[in-house]
Amino acid sequence: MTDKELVEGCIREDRIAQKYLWDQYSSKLLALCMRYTQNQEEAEDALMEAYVKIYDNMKKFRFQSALETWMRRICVNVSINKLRARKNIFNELSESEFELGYLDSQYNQLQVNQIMELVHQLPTGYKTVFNLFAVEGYSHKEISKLLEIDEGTSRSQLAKARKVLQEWVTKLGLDK
Amino acid sequence: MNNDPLEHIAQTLKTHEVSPSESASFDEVMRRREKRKKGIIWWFTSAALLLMVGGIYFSPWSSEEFNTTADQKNTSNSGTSVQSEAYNSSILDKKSTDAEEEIITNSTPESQEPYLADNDPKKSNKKTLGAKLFNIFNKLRGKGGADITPTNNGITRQDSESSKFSRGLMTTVLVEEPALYGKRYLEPTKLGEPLEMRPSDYLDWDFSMGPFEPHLRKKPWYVELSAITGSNNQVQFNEEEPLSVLGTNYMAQYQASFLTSFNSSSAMWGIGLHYTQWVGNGEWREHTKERILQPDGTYKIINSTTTGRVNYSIDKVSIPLSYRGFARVSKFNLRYGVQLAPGFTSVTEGTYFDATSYTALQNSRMWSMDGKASVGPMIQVNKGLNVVIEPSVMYQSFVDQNSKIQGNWFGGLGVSMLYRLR
Repeated sequence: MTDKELVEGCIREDRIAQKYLWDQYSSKLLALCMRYTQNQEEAEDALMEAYVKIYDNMKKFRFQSALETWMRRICVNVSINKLRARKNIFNELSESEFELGYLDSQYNQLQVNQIMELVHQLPTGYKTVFNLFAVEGYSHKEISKLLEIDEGTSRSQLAKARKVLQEWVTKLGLDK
Repeated sequence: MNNDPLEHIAQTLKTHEVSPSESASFDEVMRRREKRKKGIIWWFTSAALLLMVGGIYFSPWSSEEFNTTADQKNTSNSGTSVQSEAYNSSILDKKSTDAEEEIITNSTPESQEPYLADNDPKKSNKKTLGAKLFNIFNKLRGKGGADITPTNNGITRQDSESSKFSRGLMTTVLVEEPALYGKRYLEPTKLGEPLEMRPSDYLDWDFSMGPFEPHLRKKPWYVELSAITGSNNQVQFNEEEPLSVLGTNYMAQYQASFLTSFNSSSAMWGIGLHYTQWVGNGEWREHTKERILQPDGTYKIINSTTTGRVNYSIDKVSIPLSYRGFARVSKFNLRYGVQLAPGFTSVTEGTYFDATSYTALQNSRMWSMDGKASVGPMIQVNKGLNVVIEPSVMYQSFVDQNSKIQGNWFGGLGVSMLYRLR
């Protein structure tokens, strides 16, 4: 089933198309939500909320980007909103020092779960900006708008996240 | 293997997939959609009910009993009303027996009552749905109208004790002036107009409402404690009206609310309890025309000015229904909020006044309705506690013993503490 057929089916409230959309993308989108939320339960809640929005707003999709990209954006927005409702993320964008926990593994053997664990150890601000910029491909301008922060703050948060991750990689001698 | 470890991390995360657990299923998504649709219907129904109740409450109406009284007074001594039918001859005849050039007199509550009446004959027998409903409310609460007693001539009289409370030191100065007053009675006051907001007040607000979900225990809950004070000053007499009042109204309000967010946005809804103390001190001035019977059988017109002091005290207990939203302007967190608070008075004493009238208050439970709109900076003290400074606009009102809505706008400043419970 092509994206066009999927979209048209969802607009018609066709259950088969809606189910196919869920089966096709829910795993990818859940992994996305998990990077912004604290645990899988919260991520699944965000995922389902995002799917409700996706189904409700399908007629607004204009094929100006890939369907997956559009859905990922909705998931990011829902996850950020959940994050914002849970705590004041601006306060997390602090200068406070912290140390990552030690992961006993080689870089080239790093499993995705370990990477997730590593990224989750970052402060919320670092983690959010890193995920948005490095993984989702948002620009600093888009991040500043989404998180309601200055572009400079976004840049500095990303630089700090990079620095922390780089230090961790160096510490383990994994950059050789 | 990717040479850049950070790039490797990003790519790994990008292609990462996690299968949803059994609790996150397609069927659950569809169930949420249905619930959301029901939630929207619930919100619209609630909003419509709230608007209807608010509309009834704020709709202006006249008191049938009071207008009947005014009509009776106008006609009771019609034989002596020669030069101006608009005059209330019963008062003028009474005053004409006093000194001709300058007198000091103590006005009685009865003599002042016509000035409080809505004398529009078109409205005298008209009773709106709102008036009928509030009359039912008054009957239900038992004491409403119990202290309004008819006098011998059929005139409804307010409780004299409450009138005595604040009407002392009244003096009358007579000044000769041949011109007549064209308008003897006060226009109906414009109290009770519905709350209105300017477009600039709501353009940037987020009114999106999520589905109504009964699983409130899963929601983040907040407790808000706030105190606010406000004032409303009338600094000048209104020269265009026969009766005008100047004075200051103060109010202080203490509120505790529980708030929660029904969806993932930061907007909050809540309910609570607040206690309001509302006091006023003022001075009234009244211009009247008096006719003095001359030896040759003609009348001499004398203009008199009467002044006196009024004050009142009203305490209220209300249940505020609150909406709170958040916005960020530059580096500042702003919180805005509106609330509507139906309630009842716990203390009513003295003589309530506005710019052109005053009314002796009956000491009984009365329905009240408050509204508040505020916006101000929110300062985070720690992870759970925020302090909000709130410049506010408030409307305080109550239904008096004549089923007339009395109300005042206040500008004020408040402080709120918002604490996250979980």
